[in-house]
Amino acid sequence: MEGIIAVAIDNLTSPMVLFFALGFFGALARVDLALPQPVAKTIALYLMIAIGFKGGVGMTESGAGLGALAPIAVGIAVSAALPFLGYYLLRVGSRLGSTDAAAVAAHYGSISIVTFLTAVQVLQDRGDGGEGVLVAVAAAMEAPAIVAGLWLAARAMKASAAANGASKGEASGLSMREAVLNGSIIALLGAFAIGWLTGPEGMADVKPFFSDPFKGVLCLFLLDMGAVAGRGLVQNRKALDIGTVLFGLYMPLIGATVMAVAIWPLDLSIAGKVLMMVLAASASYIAVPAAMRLALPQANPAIYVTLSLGVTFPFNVVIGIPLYVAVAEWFF
Amino acid sequence: MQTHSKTRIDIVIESAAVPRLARLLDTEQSVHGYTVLPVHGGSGEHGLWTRDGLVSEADGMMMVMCILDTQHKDAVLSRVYAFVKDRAGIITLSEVEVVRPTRF
Repeated sequence: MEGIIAVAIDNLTSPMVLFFALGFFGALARVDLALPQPVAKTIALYLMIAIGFKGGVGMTESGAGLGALAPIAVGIAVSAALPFLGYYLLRVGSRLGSTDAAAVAAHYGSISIVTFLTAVQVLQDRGDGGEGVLVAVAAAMEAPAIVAGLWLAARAMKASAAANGASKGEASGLSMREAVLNGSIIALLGAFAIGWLTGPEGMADVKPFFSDPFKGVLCLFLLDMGAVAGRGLVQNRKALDIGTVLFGLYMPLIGATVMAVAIWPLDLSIAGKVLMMVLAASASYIAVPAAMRLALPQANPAIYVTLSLGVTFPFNVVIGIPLYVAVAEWFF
Repeated sequence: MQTHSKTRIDIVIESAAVPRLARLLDTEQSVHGYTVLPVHGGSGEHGLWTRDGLVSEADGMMMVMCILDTQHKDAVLSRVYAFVKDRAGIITLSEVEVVRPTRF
């Protein structure tokens, strides 16, 4: 318990969480601290390239071989499985219809790269930022949940049409390009590959730009994320019933637990296992919302975006990450 | 200067759906081109929003504008409507005058 409290205090007083809180509470007070959209996009690209590059360099330094594939395989399996669990929990515990439940569930099988970045920085400050392969795991876990969520939605729509005789439309498919090849994944994996190829010599060349300012840039981005999360919650809170809000708080814990069990036998550091848990606990609010808008327009974006960004993201940043660190140090 | 009557179709639609709508218009022989404009903000069913308060461009709206021969508007409109009807979006039609009719 003392360990959890110590980690929680460290996290709550870190610049990253404080800047997030500034943006969040500013938005609740109707003060606009959001960055212009092109600036936010540039910063997001910088962060993904920086963490991808660093992960690739880490792979060179650790001499990782085929054994590095195990976390990726486990990540894909958990990403594909969590939407089924999430869908069932939402149908039982909230007022969401089947289409909205499928869309929300897909978000919780996928990952939040910003939550991952924040966790990496927290762990770095504690002395170990985790293995480089975790970046590849993050990229691999983006898409399987989208496929699972769309399958759930298509099945639900068919069942509804058969029962009621009226069709609400169909879940249209996604091409491989639309589901998998989005800018975030390409930036992450591309930088990862470049870091792996260039190794420590490459890192020495770019360290003043991609490594030294990273934490400060992350603080700026979290200020923006806090503002966006707060604004979304203010505008769309009525779209969420209490059961859905609770889902946004307990599903991360369930995801982290499922992943903790799945990675038990893997040869990863404590920090690496924490990052795997963070990935399973996080919910997408960039890639999956875009996919849902395309393939499942019948689902309400106000529900899935507000839940993942306004409820789960703040929960993970403020409470989740220190909790997963403390639990991992105790459990493993 | 002599001008010629055409029909303008404006489609305000989610940014994430624009590439698919563009491919649909590309397959229409009567549509020789279109213009995509960013939408700064608005207010609708889900309240007020602006581009600066969005996590990604996929969350925003864009406007796709095309000008075509009035005789083809019903055929194009039916295909566009079939695409837009399940999504957040607006379709409007207006009569416009153009200077170079061969372009449309």
